[in-house]
Amino acid sequence: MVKSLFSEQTDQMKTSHTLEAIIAAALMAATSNAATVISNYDNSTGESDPAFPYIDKVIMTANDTWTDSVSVGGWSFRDLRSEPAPNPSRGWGHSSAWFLLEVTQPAEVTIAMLSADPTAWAGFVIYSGESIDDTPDNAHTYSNDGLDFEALNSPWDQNGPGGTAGLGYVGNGHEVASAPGTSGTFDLAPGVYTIAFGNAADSLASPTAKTFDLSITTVPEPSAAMLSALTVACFAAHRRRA
Amino acid sequence: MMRVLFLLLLITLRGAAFEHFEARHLHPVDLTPDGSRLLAVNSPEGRLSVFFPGDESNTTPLLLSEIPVGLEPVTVRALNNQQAWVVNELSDSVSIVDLLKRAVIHTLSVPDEPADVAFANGHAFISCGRANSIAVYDTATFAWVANIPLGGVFPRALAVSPDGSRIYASFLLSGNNTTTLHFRNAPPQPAPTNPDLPAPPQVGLIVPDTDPRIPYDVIDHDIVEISTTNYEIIRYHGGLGTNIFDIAIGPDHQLWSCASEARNLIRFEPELNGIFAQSQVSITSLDDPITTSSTIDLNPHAPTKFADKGISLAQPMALLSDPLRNSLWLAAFGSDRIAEIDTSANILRRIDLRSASSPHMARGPRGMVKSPALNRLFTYNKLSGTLSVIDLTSHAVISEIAISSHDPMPPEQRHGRALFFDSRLSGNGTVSCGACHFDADNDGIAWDLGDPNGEMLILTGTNLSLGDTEPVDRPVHPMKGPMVTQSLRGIKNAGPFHWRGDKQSIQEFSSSFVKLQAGEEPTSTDMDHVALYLESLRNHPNPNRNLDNSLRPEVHHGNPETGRQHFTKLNVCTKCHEGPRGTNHIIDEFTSVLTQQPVKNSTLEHSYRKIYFTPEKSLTLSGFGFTHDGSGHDLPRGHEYDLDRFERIENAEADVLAYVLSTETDTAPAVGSSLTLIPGDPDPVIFRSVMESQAAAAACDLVIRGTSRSQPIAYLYQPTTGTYRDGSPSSALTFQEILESIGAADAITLLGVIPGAGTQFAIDRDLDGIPDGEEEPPSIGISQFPLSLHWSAPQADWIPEKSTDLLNWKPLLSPANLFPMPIPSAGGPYFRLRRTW
Repeated sequence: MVKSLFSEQTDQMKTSHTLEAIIAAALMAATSNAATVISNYDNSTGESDPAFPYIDKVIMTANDTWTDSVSVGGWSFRDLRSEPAPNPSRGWGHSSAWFLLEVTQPAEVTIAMLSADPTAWAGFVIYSGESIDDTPDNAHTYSNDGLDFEALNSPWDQNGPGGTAGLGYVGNGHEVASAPGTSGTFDLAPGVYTIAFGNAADSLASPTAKTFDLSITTVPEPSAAMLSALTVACFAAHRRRA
Repeated sequence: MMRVLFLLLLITLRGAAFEHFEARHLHPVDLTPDGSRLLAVNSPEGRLSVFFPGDESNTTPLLLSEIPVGLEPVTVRALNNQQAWVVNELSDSVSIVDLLKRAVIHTLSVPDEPADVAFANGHAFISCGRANSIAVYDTATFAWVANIPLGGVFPRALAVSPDGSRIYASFLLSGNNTTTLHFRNAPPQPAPTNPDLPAPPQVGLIVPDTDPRIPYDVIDHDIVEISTTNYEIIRYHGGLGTNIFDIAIGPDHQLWSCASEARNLIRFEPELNGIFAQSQVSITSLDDPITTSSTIDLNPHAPTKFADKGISLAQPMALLSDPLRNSLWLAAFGSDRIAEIDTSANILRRIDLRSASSPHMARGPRGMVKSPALNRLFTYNKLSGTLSVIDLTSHAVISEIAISSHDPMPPEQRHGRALFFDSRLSGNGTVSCGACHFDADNDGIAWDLGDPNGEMLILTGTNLSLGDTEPVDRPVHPMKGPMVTQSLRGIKNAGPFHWRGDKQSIQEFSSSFVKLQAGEEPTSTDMDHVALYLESLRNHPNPNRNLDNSLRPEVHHGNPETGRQHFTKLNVCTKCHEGPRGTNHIIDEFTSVLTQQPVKNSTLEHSYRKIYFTPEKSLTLSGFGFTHDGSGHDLPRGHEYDLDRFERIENAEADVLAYVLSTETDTAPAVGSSLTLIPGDPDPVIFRSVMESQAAAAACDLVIRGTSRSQPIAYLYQPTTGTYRDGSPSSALTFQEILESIGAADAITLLGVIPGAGTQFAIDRDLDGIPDGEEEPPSIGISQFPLSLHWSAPQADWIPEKSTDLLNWKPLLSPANLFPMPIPSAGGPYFRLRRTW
């Protein structure tokens, strides 16, 4: 079991058990439903409005599974270059793979990625919200750990509808030492979330692109499930009294 | 008022630099079969010059007429004594000229960048360089017959077998079996010799395709042999050079070729200095079914960077067989020398074209034709814009004359061009800037011009692709590794220069004269002139775009418009490759663009010319692709990261590639486009409306040139009124009025020209402020003592003519023709002056 020490843990993030999560995802796939996918999701409003580079929009209930495979830039989630020192909290939007996730019910969401390439170093980040706008003059980097406010918020905090804040950092998955896979589990309220998948490498070494298998699984959030069970029990007791 | 406006316009035009496309002359001079007319292309003005070649008394040809043709004519071939075919490289057309009518009677529209035409079996074979094909037309009906696709890169020179059964075409960018080993697979560079240098970057390595690390073969097709009856390709010949300039069937009935052999397997600039290119001729047996060839170095005296440059023969760009002397003539473009070679390739003699007048003026011989009757050789000198006449008894230059009556190129540009192509400036007389940048274009290969003893440079870039706009230092190492030769066309406002952006101005290239040519560094004034010249060069239009500059429905199996949407909508590609020419000129974050050193965001405007490198296949026509070192790419990607979204959208990669291959250049497709009409032809409404709308959009100027009642006419389209005007400022004719005005023997041609050039093409050729039609004509008269014909202010474009019936006029070759002076009678003689155009 590898703990995500690099990650900025949040309340929403619960665990980061890479192999277990991936195995769990596989098991869940046998009993859960497939997510609804809008391929090549385009959220531009017209010719003059560049689309945010989402690949797909994935819509999931509280008992769904989604898998995919993507290729990302060798350095995309984090640049390991030591000299001159880059910003370790910065990912590169161009070379990362972006997905929009919509959760329709409160759910415990496990996100996992794994590469067959042993030199890969996996990393992903999840934000709340959908990025609507991405104009040519804007930055093309993102905060991979929530620590670099500028990288996240210049300008992606203003790219929601009407210039409102677009994205809010939720959490990430990235191992402290090189690892071809990582995962993270988050309790998510219904809504839309933006996920970027990437790889960490030294940019000066001209790293080659990496391919990752991705999965997202949702299960009913325990509190919600417990409330539901309690409700069922109350109804049952009420019926017995009646 | 109109005159004032016209003068103001001319003042503006005079202030603008003369721009052109640096025509790649192939066969620019010819004689009619009867030897009565000498023909030469006038590329800057899009005309064909017709000369009386001379006689025993007259050693200087006499300019008779200057006939408008298409843009950048590069070849003229006389089909017979009355008809000449002129190949227009920029216009993608062939003008068929009636020499008696002094007019174009038909224009063939042919595939991109035609170069040469040859006649065999009643057909005209036209090599179309950029289209990699030969177009076949019927010489009698002008009907299209066939298109022959070729397996080589940039076919140009043509030759016909003695029996007419076969035609040969040579490939300018045939390559030499070399390619670039990807930097990931290449060994580390050697240590710098300058101890102050840091370790060099990991770069690629130029290797032969026989290198075991190269999984593909690079095809070396130098000449193709084709049947003239069924158009089947019989075979390809290779091993004749990296860049084949010209071919000819020699008096020995063997196939001769002249070429440059690139020594690009030699690494580093100091090792290549002065010796990077070998000028050579090859003889290929046509009798032996298993082709055998022999190659002869034209400069065996110059194995090192310093040698006797007084005998060097650099850049052999034209060959001419001389059966009467059992020899061939060779034009050394870079050396200003003509050489006679026997059939064993021994050099019999060298004739220095600078030995006559103006010994310091570069000539640039680019074509030759011989008059057996006069025993004279005429050379077409591109750089000086002249014809030299060589007496083949004395082997001396006996005269020289300007190709045209007007030279639109400013002297500073002409001087800069001469410096660029002059191999006499090199240490051994064999190389120049033009030895790789043929006609200011490229040679299709890569060179490693790194310098282990050089110095680091600190450039300035930004990480704009990361979103940073702050300037950052970009240290670049002098051991830069392989770099593909770049075209210099369209270089204006394209700095910083080189793939790495390591030259901030053209003037900074002055060190190349010392470090690469073993010559002396030019003065700053000289380099200013070189810069003026290079900045005057424009790109050809992108052939993948429509006449109105819109995108085509399909290019290379993709939809360019769909590709454009992918390219721009995701704001990924356009981050660096924005703008009509596909670059923001920034030295950006480089770590994902197949390199470990800074490179500039490269332009995409030349991508359509770089599609012959296919490393994913077992055979590739070119060893070099479209990235800086020519290696390891997969169109349309030049980056290490994948663009997954393109993979997930049906045909998106092909669509994006189609868009990239359709990138606009600095010249719209309307420039050069033309159509010739004769009486009875309908108004070409669609073509004309597109051209007029392009002129209204300032994408081109639109002119009409031709004849009306056998007199030259020229008009310029006026977008504000929708009418056409001639030299008279108040004239305003509709197109229909012009079309209806031409007589049975006339023809007119609609032609798009460079924006702003229309005035010079149609209204005021010499831009002296006086419209051509209002120029004061010279007066003519006969003096009694001594008896002679005289006229005021003799000008090159007015020739005296003589007639006895006022209908048939013949050029008056010299005052001697006046003696004995006939007694004037009803039968004349009559004399007149006629303008040559």
